[in-house]
Amino acid sequence: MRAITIAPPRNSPTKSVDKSTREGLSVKNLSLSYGSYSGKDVVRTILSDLELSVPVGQTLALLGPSGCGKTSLLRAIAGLEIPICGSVGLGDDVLFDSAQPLKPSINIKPEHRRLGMVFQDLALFPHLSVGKNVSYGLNNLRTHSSSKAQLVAEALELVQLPNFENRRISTLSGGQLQRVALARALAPKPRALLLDEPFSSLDEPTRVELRNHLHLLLSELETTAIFVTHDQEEAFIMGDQVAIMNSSGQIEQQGNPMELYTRPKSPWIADFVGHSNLVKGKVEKNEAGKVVAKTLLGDIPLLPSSPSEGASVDVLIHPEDFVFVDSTTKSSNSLELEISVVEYYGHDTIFVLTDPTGTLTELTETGQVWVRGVDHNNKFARGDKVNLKFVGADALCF
Amino acid sequence: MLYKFKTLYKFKTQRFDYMVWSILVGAFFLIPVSYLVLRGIDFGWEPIRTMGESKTLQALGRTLLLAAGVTISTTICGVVLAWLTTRTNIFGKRILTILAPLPLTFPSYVGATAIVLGTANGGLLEKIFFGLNFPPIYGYWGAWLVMTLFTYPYVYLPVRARLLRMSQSQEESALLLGSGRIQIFFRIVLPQSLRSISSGALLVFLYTISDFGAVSILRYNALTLDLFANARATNHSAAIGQAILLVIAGLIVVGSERWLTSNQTKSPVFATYKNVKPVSLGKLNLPTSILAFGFFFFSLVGPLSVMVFWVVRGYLNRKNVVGTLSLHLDGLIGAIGNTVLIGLVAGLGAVLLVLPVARYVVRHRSKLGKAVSTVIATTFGLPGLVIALPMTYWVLHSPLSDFFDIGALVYQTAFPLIMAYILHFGAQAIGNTEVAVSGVPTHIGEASQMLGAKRIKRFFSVELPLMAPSLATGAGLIMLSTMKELPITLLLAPPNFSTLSTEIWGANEELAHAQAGLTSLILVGISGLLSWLVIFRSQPRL
Repeated sequence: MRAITIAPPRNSPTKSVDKSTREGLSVKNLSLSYGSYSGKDVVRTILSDLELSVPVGQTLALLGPSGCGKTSLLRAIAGLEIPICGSVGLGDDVLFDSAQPLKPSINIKPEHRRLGMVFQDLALFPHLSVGKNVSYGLNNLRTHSSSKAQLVAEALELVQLPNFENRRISTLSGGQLQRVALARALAPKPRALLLDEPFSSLDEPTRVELRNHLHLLLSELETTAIFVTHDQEEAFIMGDQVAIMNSSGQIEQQGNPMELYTRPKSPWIADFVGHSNLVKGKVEKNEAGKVVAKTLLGDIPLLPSSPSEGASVDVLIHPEDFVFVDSTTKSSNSLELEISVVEYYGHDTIFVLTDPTGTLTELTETGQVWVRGVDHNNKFARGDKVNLKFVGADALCF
Repeated sequence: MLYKFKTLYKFKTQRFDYMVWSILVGAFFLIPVSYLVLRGIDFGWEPIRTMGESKTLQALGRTLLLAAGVTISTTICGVVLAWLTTRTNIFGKRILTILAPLPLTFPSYVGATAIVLGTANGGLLEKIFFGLNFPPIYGYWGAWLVMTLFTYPYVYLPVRARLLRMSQSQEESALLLGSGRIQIFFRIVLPQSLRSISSGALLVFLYTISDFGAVSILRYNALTLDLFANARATNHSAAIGQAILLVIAGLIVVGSERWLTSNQTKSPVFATYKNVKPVSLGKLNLPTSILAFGFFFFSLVGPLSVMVFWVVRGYLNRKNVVGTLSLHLDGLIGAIGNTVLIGLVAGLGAVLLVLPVARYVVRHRSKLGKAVSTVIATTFGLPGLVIALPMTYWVLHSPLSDFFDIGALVYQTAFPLIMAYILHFGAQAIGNTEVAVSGVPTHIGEASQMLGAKRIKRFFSVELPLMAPSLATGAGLIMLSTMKELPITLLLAPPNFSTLSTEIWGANEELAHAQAGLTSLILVGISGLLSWLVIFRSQPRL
């Protein structure tokens, strides 16, 4: 008997929408260029065919190398740059849509989009007090003045700067300025928040403190937010979702941080989200019938979706998936490597290993293997010879 | 593809209003030059014949001789004072630093008035030296003295700024390499200040060849005297010929300055000014200091005291016909009001006129805008008489007179005068306006936009408050310039419209010394106050 499945009608009203998957902000086919159209100057393409979506109430961390167009994307969403084509949507509203056959183009002015934005240089109004800065957006909403003071106070409370209304901007510290900029963006209750590397100009302790605070705030307020950063650690901490942008102005992969770390779509991403080893090997089946990669560091078990037997692959192995084995007790069939760099971070130690016999490029592309471990006793030092043992789960390969 | 065309269109229209405005402003500022060219062609050989006349050529020669003399003396005074106040331990350094730029507040015709007042019969010098009659220093030396005493700050200020910004570590390393202090000045400091010196000297030169007030009060027959007479008599063909000569003389000097300094390497500027041990003047300290203070005695104390003397004398000695202080205060108050009002209108008008151009230049990096900005700056270099000339013609021969006679409408109003002021001094607005626009971070406007503010609100709530200080400086500078201006005001002020400058001029013609003294004092007072507000307050380390 054949099972009959009935596909639910699209947009069925009865279908309960899971909050975590409902679209908050969505960007489709977005392309953006800078430069004059006169033909004399070179037109520089910044974004090409970019796709991005942020579920309602979640924070998306936008991560990418410097100069890849993260800020431009944010500005295009805000309406400060006009894309060549594509669309930007917020909930059910269309903020921008380039002209299509039989449809007029839509471009809501930035001042009507009701998006909150925190600029990299904060762009606070130096001639206005803290209170006036925060209430600036409320004025434009024609908020009643009594409730306005209330809203300003609330916003300042939220960023832990209570009673700062009458302070002058020039008297504040870097961290306080940051908080005012955040309060100013939050006060008019924006439909989404855009943050452009907001912590880039702060010192490390303030940065960590503010980052924790913002993280808490965003999840409490359930604001849809895009957080631009070039710092992988910051992206992983802040983002419910992380989108990685490459230098050609496209989103290379979007997912939750764990997905990106354990299942990167490309070696480039694997490298970008943390130093990982791409160990060369050949796909085979071992005695137990398990698919493994034969490498110079021993057999590495692979995920079931790996290429067929005999294929040459690069196996993705994170530095923490190796442990050292004493070279005297030859319990692994791994190559003997020499420790060439030791970086002690306190909570862990990074060892960079090289092959003393010189089979370098058959091991990995760079000839190096990175291993992360905890070594508080200074047991391993530069020049020591070690063997490696793979202790991770089934590995991904490219 | 369709969409691309649409964005193309949008892209252009966003700047369309700026473009049209800039073109109009550029056309406006081209009026003086195009008038010279077009009317010159109309007159055919007439202006050229005037240029060839020996009378004109001699006058030109006198003008150039004066300008050369003044340029040399101001350069020496300016550079020496700048060095003394930045690099040495001269006695009274702080007071000297405060005094040095002050002579700038004296218009040349007020300086000349001071000389006339000082040496006149019954003047201060006669009183001090027991009735000894001093011959008035008219002619070349009088004009030279006045121009030197009151224009040297044009050299002093840029050189001082340059010296303050020059990396002192260079001088220290030269010292460690074994050079003496004097050697360092000539081999390290002077070569690197040449640009500032030459640009200051250029300003002095242009100012002197276009000066009318001092040379006419001191009866030195410079070219501007003939030019003024011809312009007043609406003898335009001769006036155009002389104006063209003046402009060409200016252009040659500007061109040679450019050419001479073109291969000057731009030495890197280090903004850090550290308190390096100043040069010790040793035994020469006191004499140098006395010399410097003596200089300021002549340029500040002297003029002010002869003015005060005549005011007091005129008040005490009301029976004497020549020295009478006719206290018709209504006329004086009216002149003060007119001076301030017309300066304010011209200043604000110029700022409003050039603000869109400045935005076009700074925000959109427009080449057209840059060209217009250059035209405005160049017009500043033209003599005031050359600016006034087309206005005197225009009110009588309105280009649209058949349909709508604008000339008749504005004839005998202050409108042509204000237009001429804006034309002449617009450059002081464009520089400061560009500074104002670039002082507003682009992100601030965008932040305001993201918070829902519309274009008008953005301008008034964020951009204007941030630009206000620089815009006010621009308007204030123009106001100051209009006060110190004489020939334009004399030619274009409507009948019965007196300003402080026309009052001083009139008093000089009637030998009403007490009246001239009082009016000059008031003018110097107002211009000093304004100068302090817009110029001196922002000088480094004053």
